[in-house]
Amino acid sequence: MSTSTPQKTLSRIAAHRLQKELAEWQANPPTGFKHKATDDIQLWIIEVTGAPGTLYENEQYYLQVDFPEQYPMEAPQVIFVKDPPMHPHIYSNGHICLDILYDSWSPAMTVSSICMSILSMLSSSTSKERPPDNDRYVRNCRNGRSPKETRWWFHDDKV
Amino acid sequence: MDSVDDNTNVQPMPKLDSQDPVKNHGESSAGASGGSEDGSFDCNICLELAQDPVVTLCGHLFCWPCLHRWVKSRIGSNKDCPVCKAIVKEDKVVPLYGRGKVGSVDPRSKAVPGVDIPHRPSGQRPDAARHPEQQHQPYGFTFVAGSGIPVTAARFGNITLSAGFGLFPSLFGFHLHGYDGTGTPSGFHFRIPGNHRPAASPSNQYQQQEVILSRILLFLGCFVIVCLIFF
Ligand SMILES: [Zn+2]
Ligand SMILES: [Zn+2]
Repeated sequence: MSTSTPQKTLSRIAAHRLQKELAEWQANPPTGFKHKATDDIQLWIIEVTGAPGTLYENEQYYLQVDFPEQYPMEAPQVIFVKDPPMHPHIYSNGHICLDILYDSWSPAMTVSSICMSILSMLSSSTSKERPPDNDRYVRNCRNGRSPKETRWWFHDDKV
Repeated sequence: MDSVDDNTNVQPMPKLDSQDPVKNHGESSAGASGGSEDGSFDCNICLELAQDPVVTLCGHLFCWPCLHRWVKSRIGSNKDCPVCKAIVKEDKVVPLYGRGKVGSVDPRSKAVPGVDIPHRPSGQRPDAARHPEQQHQPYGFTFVAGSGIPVTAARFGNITLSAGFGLFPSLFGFHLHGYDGTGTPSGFHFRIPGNHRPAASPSNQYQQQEVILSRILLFLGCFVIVCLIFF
């Protein structure tokens, strides 16, 4: 999936922090996630396995995490690639409607903590369906727009 | 995100409990390599052992350059603690002065060209605890009449030098040469060698000082009242 995130080289701070996060991940990976090695530290592919006892039990999905130059001051771009899970807050183009990826990002969060949030979002789902505005949204994103450019509207829906 | 008003969608989004990722972060930073042993002294932003450490009023530890960069990037939005979202004011953070690495250049303060990291805020230093033994005039300092500052603190790197300028009876010509009390004043042993001036009896000195202080306070009070009346 192409995105409009400019591929710049990471700042030295960002590179340091990513190496640190990767080392921590390898020492202590979050349950249900597997980091797929790529030769690019700026682009992570992560395999997600649905948690037992949920609608997504044992299903495999793939997250793509794209780090901006100014990470962690700026949030990474996180989307599902290949076949995104059917979920009321996950669009068919892989974009995820989750506040911490956008307005509520904080540099104290990590890839690992993002993964936990995504898994908990999946696990709390009660129906496998797309967001009601899926078609309109995906049409608007056709020329490869990043979800970070979307003006998301937050609400307190627990699903 | 404000710049994309024209062609953006409005999407519903679940609001996760903002505490969740915080907890996760705390767990994942344990056992980190390169930082402190258990991560207790790692910066919450770069995840390394904090350099130029500062603590926010909510108690969260950061490198000063890391925190400054975050606060600076929050123009137009809340300047909040990355960990707990409490409001962060840069002049309210508390610097931590440990023993090590005086004068070393922190690479994080140099890493972003064009972004100047200002000096870390200084600690807010309450007056030294009052103790008669600390009130002898230190050797080599002369009191400047009119200066009402009881304590000055100068910081060089991580070393804080404090000089107490008490209001000494000797300034006013009392007790300059020889006290006539009995026994050695308790402060005697703490005087810096080379100061041959005998110390005044601590109790005497204390009383004198209190009288002078109360006069100064009275004067200040009057001054403030006069200011309030006329301005
Ligand atoms: Zn830091
Ligand atoms: Zn905090």
